[in-house]
Amino acid sequence: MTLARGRASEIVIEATVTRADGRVERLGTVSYWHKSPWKRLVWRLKRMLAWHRL
Amino acid sequence: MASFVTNNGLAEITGAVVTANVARQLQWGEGSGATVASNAIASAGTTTEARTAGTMSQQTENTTNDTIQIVGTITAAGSRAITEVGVFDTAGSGSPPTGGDMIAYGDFSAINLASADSITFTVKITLDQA
Repeated sequence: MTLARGRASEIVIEATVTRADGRVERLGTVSYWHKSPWKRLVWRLKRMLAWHRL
Repeated sequence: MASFVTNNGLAEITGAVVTANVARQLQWGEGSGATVASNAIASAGTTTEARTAGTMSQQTENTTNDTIQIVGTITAAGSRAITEVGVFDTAGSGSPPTGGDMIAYGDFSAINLASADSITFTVKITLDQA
């Protein structure tokens, strides 16, 4: 996941999909960047753990 | 000696951006890896949808009103595998749209859409003193 960033400390992009039939799928945070590499690493680890639980 | 922006200063900056009456536009794409120096999404591909004006507001993440939030919805005109979104300072022109400056960008695992499906993106840009 890459994000263009200037001097922001954090950029979060969340997504919610609404299907044509009206169903709503909340995907949560789909892209994340923090100026701290540790916080970026933690977010990636959380994502990996979430995928393993699926 | 030290120089810094105060918490109130951060709120003033985000407030100035939000109230500048300049609509920020969201555009999606099917590429990835646009760089900091990029001024466009990586690949518009078949994503011919026009940019969508986002609704801007101030939000609080760490200190009061330190975050600019942009929310906008784009509806698919056909089958899509969306993997990136960019925030622009103008609606641009053409199909897919081009032009203007890209302010923020993110890529992600593919979100598969059928025609008339839509994605509401919420982009949060948080500032701090350092």
